[in-house]
Amino acid sequence: MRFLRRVLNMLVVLLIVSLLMFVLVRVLPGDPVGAALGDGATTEQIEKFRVQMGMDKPLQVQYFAYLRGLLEGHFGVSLMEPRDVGTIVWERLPATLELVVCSLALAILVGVPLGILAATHRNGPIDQASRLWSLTGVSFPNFWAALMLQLVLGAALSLVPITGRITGPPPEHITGLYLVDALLTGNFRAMGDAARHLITPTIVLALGPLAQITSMVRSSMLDELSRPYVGFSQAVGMPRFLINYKYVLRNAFSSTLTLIGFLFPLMIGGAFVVEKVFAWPGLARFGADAILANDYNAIVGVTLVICLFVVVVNFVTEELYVALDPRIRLER
Amino acid sequence: MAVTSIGQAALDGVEPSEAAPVRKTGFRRRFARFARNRLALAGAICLLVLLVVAVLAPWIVPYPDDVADSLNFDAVLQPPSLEHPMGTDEVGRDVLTRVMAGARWSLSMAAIVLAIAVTIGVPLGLFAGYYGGALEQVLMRITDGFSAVPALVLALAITVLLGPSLINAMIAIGFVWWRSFARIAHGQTLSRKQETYVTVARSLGASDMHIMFREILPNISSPLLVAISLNAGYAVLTGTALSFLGAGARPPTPEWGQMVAASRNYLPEAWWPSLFPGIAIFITVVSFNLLGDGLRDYFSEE
Amino acid sequence: MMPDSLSLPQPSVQTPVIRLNGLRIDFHTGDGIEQVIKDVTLRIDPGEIVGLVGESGCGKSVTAKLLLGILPMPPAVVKAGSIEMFGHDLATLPTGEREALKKFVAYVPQDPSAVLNPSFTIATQMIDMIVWYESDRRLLTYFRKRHTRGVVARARDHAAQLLEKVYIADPEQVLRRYPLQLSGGMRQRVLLAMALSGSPQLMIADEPTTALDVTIQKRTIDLLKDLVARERLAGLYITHDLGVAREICARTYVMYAGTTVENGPTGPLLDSPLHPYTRGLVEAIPSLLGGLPRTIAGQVPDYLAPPKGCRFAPRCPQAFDRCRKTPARIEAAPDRQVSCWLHQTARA
Repeated sequence: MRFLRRVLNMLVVLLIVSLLMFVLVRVLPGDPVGAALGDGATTEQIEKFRVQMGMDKPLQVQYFAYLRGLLEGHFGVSLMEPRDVGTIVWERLPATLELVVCSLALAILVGVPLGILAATHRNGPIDQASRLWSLTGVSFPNFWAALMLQLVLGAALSLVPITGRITGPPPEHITGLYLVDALLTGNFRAMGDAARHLITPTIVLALGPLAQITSMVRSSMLDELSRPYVGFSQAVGMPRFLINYKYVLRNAFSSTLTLIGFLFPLMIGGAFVVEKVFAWPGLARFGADAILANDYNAIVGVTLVICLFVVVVNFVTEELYVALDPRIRLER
Repeated sequence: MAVTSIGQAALDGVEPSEAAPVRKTGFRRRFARFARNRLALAGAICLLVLLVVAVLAPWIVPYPDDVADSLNFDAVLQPPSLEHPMGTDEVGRDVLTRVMAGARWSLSMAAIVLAIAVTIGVPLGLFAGYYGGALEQVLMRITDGFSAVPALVLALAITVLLGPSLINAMIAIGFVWWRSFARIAHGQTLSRKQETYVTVARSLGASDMHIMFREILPNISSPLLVAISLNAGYAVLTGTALSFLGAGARPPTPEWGQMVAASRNYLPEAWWPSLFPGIAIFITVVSFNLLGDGLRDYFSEE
Repeated sequence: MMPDSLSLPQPSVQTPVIRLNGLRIDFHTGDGIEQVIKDVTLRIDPGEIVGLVGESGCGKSVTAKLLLGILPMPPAVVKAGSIEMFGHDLATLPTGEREALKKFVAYVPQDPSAVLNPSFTIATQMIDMIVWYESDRRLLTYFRKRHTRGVVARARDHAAQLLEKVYIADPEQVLRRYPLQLSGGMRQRVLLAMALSGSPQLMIADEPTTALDVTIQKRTIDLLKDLVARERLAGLYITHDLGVAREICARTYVMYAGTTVENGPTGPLLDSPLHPYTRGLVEAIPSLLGGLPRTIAGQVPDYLAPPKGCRFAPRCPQAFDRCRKTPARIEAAPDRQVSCWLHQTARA
């Protein structure tokens, strides 16, 4: 029952977003037709184009036509490259996913242990450093951090390539995720190549989330450590290690899980900038280009796909949260 | 803070006028307590300095002509020196001058975005939380919808559709940002509306509007203040990112994001015109975060 | 690793289970030094239940926390006095052995709903505790045993037996539950069962019934009495309810602002109190014979700047000049001690 309601909520949110974006691109003064045809277009050409794209019809008719198209898998034709937006999104998606997933993994793998250490060694040097880090880490403008890392790691030290996703030929296409494809086909040259390209954008995109995860793990651990059950476990002689890593961590982890649901859209937003700077051939760069070029089908399509991911990730993290934490599970 | 609320005053048995004289020493003590948090104090001081620089920029910058559109082709891309502590940019303007002038745009970005976001978000959150029912469902689903699109993406789209300019970027970000305040106001209102002072005010016959804006709002102002401070930093980050992508400020406006974008083509040889505006953004955002964090600690102690 | 001499505290009739002597504890806080415990002297003999009564904020819980080894130091600093547990001086005992003693101390906390971990079943929490007590305080041994099916099954049976000891009819059912799914009274029983999972010699109960409904309070107290008698435990029972103290405790210590001001067999102590504070407490009990209970005027002092001399003097109706100095603790009657100038003058 609850599950059904949540799925329904998800659909409602998607519907709202599609309506919002659809109306925005058509109502706001941006001129997609002019952008598509260029300045030299005659009134006649413009009129013909509008009829061709169905833009002469009333807004609600256009919207329902668009929704019907979506159900059949058509996102409409992109103005930048004359193909269906769905096809382009499908091609571009793996690059962005690879980048975002790697960044999220980096943020979790470093942030969680750092947060734990900070909380269990409260006011020690690690704690002070992690607190400073959680305030500064979220404050870097990511485009600037990207340029500076390119400057230092790429240009000055020549450790990593400056832009792009791969230098040599990409591995055989299976999932579209280069690391996975390279592993599956045993193509270790391509794997190393792809990994080296991934390093800088991954770090840039992970900076903010890493800081937020650290500070969330720290504060929720401290919160849990002050609970009576911790004092009780100590009073009956349970060892510190067991209390910290079995009891407290488990309870502190659930709040970190919800944070991940919150961080995901933030990272996709970050990818719009990072992919631009690194010339990363992903969905986010396509989205940024589409927005800047007033490519309205692409804008709506890309936003909807991103939104679908955000909603699904939120759904999954919340379900996991409920499943992991009996406090919430039992209250329902 | 609670002095403005009838319900609270009735509970405390304190007349509003009676509470007034103690305030001054109270303020001094509160400030002393806030100032104990060194980092927060540092953030507040940094912001104050930025504000002064922003206001006085036309008079105090070393090369007033370089604020906007001057060309000095004999002094292009000079590295930092005594004459130009941050070097010169691709058309020979003094980078320090432009960084100082840029403080204006970043602070106005924060102010305008937050003004718009708070004006839309807080009343919506209050209404949703206070009235509940179908209104709450509709308002919160719309908020969810807005939250499901990454802020930067939505703001970028709206800015470009409105026509790329700095003021449009501010409007767009403000229009995207209200959702954070709606959520906070909604959650806080839900937890506050059960409290005794609300019941008391209601039994005294206060109108819904009075209860929402005079009883509940003052009592949720601390979490809102913290959120405003923390969100100011993110708003600045988003604004500079829009300018960097070419949707916000246009050359020759000395906006930090735009400055980085204009100078990035001269990397890696000329690093200074890209480095310093970025540091300025970083310091501004860190200051807002330090302040917000300090305020949060301060209010949670209270 | 724990030496064999410590594996069982020798329950000789002579050695007191607990002996606190002239204990003084300061708290170093941001605002200054709080002199919370001034002079606590207290003895618990084997098999004896001793009460510790007083208002909130008198240092009763600090005393309990100290005995349980969970008083955070710093901010707390022991300035003077000695703490002996099962005949061992805790100050000279290495940390590991001090921790090992906890196995012999059963702790019954104040709020049964808060001290059970909400994320784990009763079974998990009890088995963890039982297996840990069997592991000689070694983590590796613990992890090996905790993942050995036979050991866990045995521990689970043991847990079920413990639950039966506290009259839980269907232990298997309770073991499967999360703390949230149990009633307050049931949780308190589970805690009592957990308290027995070591091999306790001493029970420390810190106001174990305050958080419970009145009806359940009575039953819990009966159960506690029953357990203490059956398991032959000594006990420290902290309460602000003199009626409960009279029912359970053989002897009682009255504590005010960090000093044990009076002690003696509970009946005589409450019937004919010597210290004005004890008298105040007794008179504050609502009586069936009518008359409003009289409260003690004033409140527990600020520990940052406590009154010099007798700390009760500012609230004491009988205070006089000498109260500005600290009175010595004197034997006023057989097994009855009091720290008050009134009685010293009487004897002098």
